[in-house]
Amino acid sequence: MNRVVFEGLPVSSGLGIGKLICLKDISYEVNTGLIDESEIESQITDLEVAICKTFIEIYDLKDGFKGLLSEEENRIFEFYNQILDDSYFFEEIKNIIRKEKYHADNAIYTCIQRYMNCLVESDNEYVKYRIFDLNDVRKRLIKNVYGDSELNFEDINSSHVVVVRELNPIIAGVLSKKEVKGVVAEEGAGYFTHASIILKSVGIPTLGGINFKELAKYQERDVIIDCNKGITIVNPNLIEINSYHESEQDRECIKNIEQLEPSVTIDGQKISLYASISSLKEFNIAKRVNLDGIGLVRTESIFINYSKVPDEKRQFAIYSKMAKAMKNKMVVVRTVDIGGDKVPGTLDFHKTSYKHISRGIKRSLEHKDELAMQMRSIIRANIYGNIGITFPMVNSAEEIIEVKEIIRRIENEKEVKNNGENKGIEIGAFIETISAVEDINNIIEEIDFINIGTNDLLHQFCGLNRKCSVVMKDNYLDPEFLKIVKTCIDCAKQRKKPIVLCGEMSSDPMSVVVLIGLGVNDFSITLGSFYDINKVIRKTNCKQAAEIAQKAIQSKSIDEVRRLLYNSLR
Amino acid sequence: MTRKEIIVNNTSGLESKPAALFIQKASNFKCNIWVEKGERKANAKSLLGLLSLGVGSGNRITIIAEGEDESQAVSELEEYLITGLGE
Repeated sequence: MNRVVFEGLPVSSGLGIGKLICLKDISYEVNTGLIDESEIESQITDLEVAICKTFIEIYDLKDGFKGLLSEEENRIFEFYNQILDDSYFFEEIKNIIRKEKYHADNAIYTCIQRYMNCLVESDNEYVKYRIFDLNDVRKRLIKNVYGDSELNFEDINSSHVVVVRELNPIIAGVLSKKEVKGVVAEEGAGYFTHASIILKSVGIPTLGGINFKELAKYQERDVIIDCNKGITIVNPNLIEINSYHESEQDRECIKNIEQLEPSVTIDGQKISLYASISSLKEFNIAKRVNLDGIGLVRTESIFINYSKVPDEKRQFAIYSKMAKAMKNKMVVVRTVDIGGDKVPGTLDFHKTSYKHISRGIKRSLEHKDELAMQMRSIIRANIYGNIGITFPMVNSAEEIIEVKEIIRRIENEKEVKNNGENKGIEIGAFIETISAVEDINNIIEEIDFINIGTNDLLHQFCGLNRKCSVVMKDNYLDPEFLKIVKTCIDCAKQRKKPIVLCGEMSSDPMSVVVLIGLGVNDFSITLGSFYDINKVIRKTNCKQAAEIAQKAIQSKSIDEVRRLLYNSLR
Repeated sequence: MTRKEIIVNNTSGLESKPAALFIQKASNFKCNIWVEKGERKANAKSLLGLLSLGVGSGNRITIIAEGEDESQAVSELEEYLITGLGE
């Protein structure tokens, strides 16, 4: 059997080995004939039935993901819902049936094609990527007009590497639930698209930009997907299989309690690795891994998975369970970051205008009862372990002063006091807005540690810097962005306060070297990236990293930084 | 019928989130509302419609309304656009 290598673009990290399976594309050939006047009503009924079926399909999928996906990931469904809720859009399809006498399937096809042709011209990256969602909606609608069966999802299991023609969030969600070995897509896999974010968050190796038709010929063959090299190998040779199996076993360690080697640099500097988690499922994996603690518990999913805000008892149960399970290791809980009230999350992509939209700590301070309840649950749970509290989207030191006042009040409450010794909780702040960076000197004075939220910070940075594309993977290597991060690090180091780096940047091996060079010793990363980041740390020399970081900061462009890292780290 | 020409001044134009906010606002009115940009015209209560216009920052658009509360609709939507769509 011939060994064949396909090159693609890595979207997540890691590697997997398994049997190749194709996710059947919903194929349709629309009926291009014209209908009779008498058939109009029945075609419109077919359309309406298809809309209902599609709506239910999406709803069921969304329901099935509860607790598995984080709140942010669950929001991907909102765009689908908005389309399926757009009565004007469906009226348009009906008009095509009525006036142009198209069959329902062709009317759907034509109408959505017109919209896709418009969206593809958009300068807005977010809008452009919605084409994949729209195409998925189209396939689903047409399939439901025919009354055909679902995709061949039932044939797929955790032994497979799945080839997909067009990846979308829903497919990504199903595949992550099935814990497949890897995903290879021709289209729809981009670094910041929702589908990729989902697969990344569960640590499934994913490659984009691979020819579906060619790869699909190798159904049922052994394949290796290697995101570090950006390749898929069909019919790998024995040596390759063995070496990949070895690293797979290493990777399995994460899942199987066994210990990772300590994350210490060549020159003996201990780097602490914490997990960032957003669901209880992730927590259950994290607690079995030998890590230094939980650096970030996103609490949005706790809030979103219940129809109303969970009461103190329920929240306390969750936080204290985490505190107990992690024993004396640090667990940092971030208060809920929801905002813009009814603003759909999926449409919240260009985060350039946070100052004016209540989100994060600002929104929480506008809903003080809800905030105080969450803080009380967190503070009470601290008795059972080592909990810290941190706040999202901080803008100024004043906000921290305000929440500290609430904390003091809670700590003095009778039932909290009577509940055993009062340890005093460690307080942190997420530096992820430009205004927080501007006020960093004052914020630092008020807190015990800082988190740098590189995702939001980068989005804001990109919002101010038009040259910066949010779709590019390593924009956080922009020297100007590195300077912003360095400002925060230097300030914290000066006051001897710990800095925990969070977000995509901290899970990116190349960036981690630069960050170590800038003096960061604590990283909170996704579970899927533990293996790779640990490996990078164990190969890093702090002194050399500092030199690299220094050069990176002085570079004139991202390209220069990339070249520098590429040359120094190969 | 009431028409009003407006220049969209917020940073991200009528795309993604601002578009969703705009249709929420527009849906509060009983009258039919359209947004016109150049040759193209879309229903102001349809997300896909608005997104397909591709209204960017600095673009000139026309709001057109027809129905009982048309003048109120146009003036409130204009106000909403001018104040930067909640930014």
